[in-house]
Amino acid sequence: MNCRECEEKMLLRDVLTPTEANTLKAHLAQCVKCQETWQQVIALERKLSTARTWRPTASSALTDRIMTAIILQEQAPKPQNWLKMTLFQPFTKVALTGVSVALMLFFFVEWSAPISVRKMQSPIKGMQVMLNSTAMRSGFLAPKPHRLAACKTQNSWNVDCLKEKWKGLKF
Amino acid sequence: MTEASEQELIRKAQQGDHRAFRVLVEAHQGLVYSIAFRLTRHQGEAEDLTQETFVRLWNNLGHYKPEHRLKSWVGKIATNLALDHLRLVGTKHRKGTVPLEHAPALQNAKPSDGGLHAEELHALVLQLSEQLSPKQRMVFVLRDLEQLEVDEVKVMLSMSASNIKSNLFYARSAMKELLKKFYP
Repeated sequence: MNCRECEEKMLLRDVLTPTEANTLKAHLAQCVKCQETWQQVIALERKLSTARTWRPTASSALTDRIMTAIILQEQAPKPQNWLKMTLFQPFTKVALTGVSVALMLFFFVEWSAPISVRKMQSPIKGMQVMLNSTAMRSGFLAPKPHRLAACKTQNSWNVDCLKEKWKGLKF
Repeated sequence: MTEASEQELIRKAQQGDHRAFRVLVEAHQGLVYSIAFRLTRHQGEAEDLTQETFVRLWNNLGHYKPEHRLKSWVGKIATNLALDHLRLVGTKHRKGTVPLEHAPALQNAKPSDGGLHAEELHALVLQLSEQLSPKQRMVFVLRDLEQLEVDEVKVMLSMSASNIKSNLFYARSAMKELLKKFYP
């Protein structure tokens, strides 16, 4: 044990294990420098011990003040969570469900309106057609230019050829 | 107050019994106020923190687990509040502090006849402890001034034993050096 470790042990002597306490004792017995430090540590402990004898005491009215604060807090109207309250009202639930169903119907009708009913052979096919139709309208699935190149004459387009090409496109 | 009677009072307080809670307040407010005062060095602030501690205790009594000691739980609430308070006002206080040797509590502290009264020495120790970091100060106050067991300090500060030892060492070491200035 060196003097630094010894000082650490001295300052923590109230939380040492018996082995550590014995090591400290052994070092103290032979180190004069640490014996001086030991005197300072003892002096510190004595001062703290004296300081401890004065204990701050609360005023006698503190208990009443605490209890009053608790009672007042209980009497005060509790803040209400308006959002939560509104969301859990039965009428709100029905209204929100109705609105969401109406929105779903609206989008479905809007998207599927131009699609021929005959193409709706199965729900999946119908959904593909609907999505492709929407994509076509927005330009995502427009025929590739090289497919239409054959329909181009010198100064204009061959309309019949174009119609044929569009018809042949697979959605 | 025995453990069993305290548990009974807690059970009644959980059901909304103010009288039972008042008995608990009377039993523990001394410790809470003392911790708060030793950390803030201000009577008004210490009383505010004590009040806030017990209001929080009342509001959270439903979460109390009988395997924990109420003293440790109350102490934990108080130290957390005090730590928040110190962080909040720390910079404000530091701005207004005068050099340590000229501080009022220390002006009278230089002992000519070799000794100080307990109250003066207490004030001196508290003033010097402001030089410590908030954690070191907490550990120092709880262990050396309140003389709580290491296990209780562990619960109150949510720290490991080795962390407490380390903070305690630095705190005591610093206090030893600071006190040397007044007791060469």
